[in-house]
Amino acid sequence: MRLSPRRLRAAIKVANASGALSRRLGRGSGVALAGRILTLIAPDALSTLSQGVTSVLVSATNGKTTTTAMCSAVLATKYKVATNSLGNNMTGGLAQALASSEAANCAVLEVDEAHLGIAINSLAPKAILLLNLSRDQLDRVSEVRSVASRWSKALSTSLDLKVIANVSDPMIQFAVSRHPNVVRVALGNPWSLDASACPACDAPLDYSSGLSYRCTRCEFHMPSCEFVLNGSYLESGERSTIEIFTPLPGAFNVSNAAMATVLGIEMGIAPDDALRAISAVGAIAGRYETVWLGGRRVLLLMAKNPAGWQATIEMLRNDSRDVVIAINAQVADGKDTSWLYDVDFSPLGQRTVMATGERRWDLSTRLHYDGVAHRTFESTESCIAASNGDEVVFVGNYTAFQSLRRLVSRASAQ
Amino acid sequence: MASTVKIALVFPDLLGTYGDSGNAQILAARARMRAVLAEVITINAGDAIVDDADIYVIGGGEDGPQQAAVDLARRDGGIARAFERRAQFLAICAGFQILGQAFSTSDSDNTPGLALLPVVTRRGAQKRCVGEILVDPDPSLGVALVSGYENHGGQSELLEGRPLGKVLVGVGNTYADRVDGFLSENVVASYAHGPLLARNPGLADLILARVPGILLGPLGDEGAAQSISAMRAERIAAARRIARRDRVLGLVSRHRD
Ligand SMILES: [Zn+2]
Repeated sequence: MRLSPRRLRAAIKVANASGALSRRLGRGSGVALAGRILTLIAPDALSTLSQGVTSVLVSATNGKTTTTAMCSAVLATKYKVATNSLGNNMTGGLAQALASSEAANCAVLEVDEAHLGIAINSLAPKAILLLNLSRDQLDRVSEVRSVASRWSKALSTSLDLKVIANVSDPMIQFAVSRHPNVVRVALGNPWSLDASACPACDAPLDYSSGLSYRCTRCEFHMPSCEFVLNGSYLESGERSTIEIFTPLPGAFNVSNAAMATVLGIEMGIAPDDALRAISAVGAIAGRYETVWLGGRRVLLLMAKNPAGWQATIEMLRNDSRDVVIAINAQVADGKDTSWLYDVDFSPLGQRTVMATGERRWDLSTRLHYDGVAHRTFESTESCIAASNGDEVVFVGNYTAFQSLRRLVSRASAQ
Repeated sequence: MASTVKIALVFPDLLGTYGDSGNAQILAARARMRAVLAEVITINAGDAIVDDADIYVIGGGEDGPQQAAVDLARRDGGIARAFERRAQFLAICAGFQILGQAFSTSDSDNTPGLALLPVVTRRGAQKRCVGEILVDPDPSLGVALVSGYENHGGQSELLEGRPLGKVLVGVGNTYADRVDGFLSENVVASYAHGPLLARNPGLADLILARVPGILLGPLGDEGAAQSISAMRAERIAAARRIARRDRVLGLVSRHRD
């Protein structure tokens, strides 16, 4: 059943009104609610709204919000782009993003790992970027390999689609290996804890030949790639080497920028134009933003899972600023904090570290066993008040980060 | 007489889903805090399993890696030899299951285990057991309440022997038995991760003290002890809160978190 445009517009109006009401009631931005209501009254909204729109989807465990912002910037050099820049990445959020911009002829959408199949089916995207797959909130979401299998199944019904895949991650290679239209990118693989066993047959993977992998039992192995990221240089067999630049910190953001550059090239955008667009992408939904709080500058970082935390800790290794770490364990964070022991916090050993958040004692215990001297405080404000220097680094997991953002906006409103 | 406590961390690349390598790190750290030398030997899949370690730490994993781990361990034989000479074992979740007679995976309902413990694990008909777990440990251990977080589908039935303790909050081995894990002179097994020894330093010290020739003095680190006891108090209170709420909602012995 197709929805009449009139009914769809009415649905969008109702949804937006509910979103605005939710926003006024202080229940967040209202975008997620508006999206849910929209899909409720107009279940085929996604396919209707995406008619005539060139869509690109981005999915991953880590980096999807940032990469989506970079891809939007790149495609905005050629298209009028709609995007879910607030990170509302389930079906409702996608519909809302498409509905919010009538003039858009292109959509760049971040998609939750579990919703990728639905999004591919209803949006018929032109391209999809798959970055990495690791554990995230294990007590809520299913196991990594079953996500990879579902991706593989979803891709098997959409053969026209161009898949831009980081095959340095064995889980991604497993998901895309049978697709006929894959642009393979090797970003390197700093996190192999979730992919030490072959996704095809469970035998151990052999990583001994450097950055590639090979199953010790079956045929599964890392394929050769069209693009290889080497430090900040994106190398390609046929094309000249491109130097990737992003103002965002950390090696993982260079990887994200490389993926957005490859998307640009595949969509016919000159690398120079893509790079210029990417270099203008700064803070995203508050992440990497420097705010003013308690008389100090505070750099805001978020990490949501062990791979994300390890990358962030590595990034801070040679930094001298005081670090505030906040850990919560709400449903959105995962209620199980055992992942703290999958992260090596010892690179922070020489710094002033402060622990806070609802699960500060879990964190504090972890830091003790990693030999990281620290102090524990009830609130982030107390940490910042006790810190030294002009600028402090704050790293929180999802709800800890969101609650600090609320604190910042309350402080700036006063 | 052990001059250095050798701790073998078995297949963290296959069995390390719930931060289980933390248990090995914590054993070593708590030995060193008492000026007892300790060494963690990491045995990745494909490595030979040393058979002369004092303590073996085996963690939890997904179905496929669990199957791979049991195949490798059986072929290698190091774990069986170490068990035979009564080395200490700490086995969590899938690690507990593979030491038993048989367990279930998504491919098979009757995968043979290493047959070192009198336990058989079947796939549960009820929903997965996920949430805070609180266990009243066997009184002979003289350790405080065991706090942890469980996440498993398997239902493990003890054919003989003692469990680690009675389940006060959560599920443990099976929905019916209200007990968790297994306990013997050389084994501490549990469904509680957290990791287990981070939440329960008494268990860590108990396992260390069971190693022949080890004398544990008082823990030097005041700060660590304070953080651990604050965490324990907070987690035990949380588990009891969840249990009260479940009783009110008529969800006795079922997890809601
Ligand atoms: Zn294989």
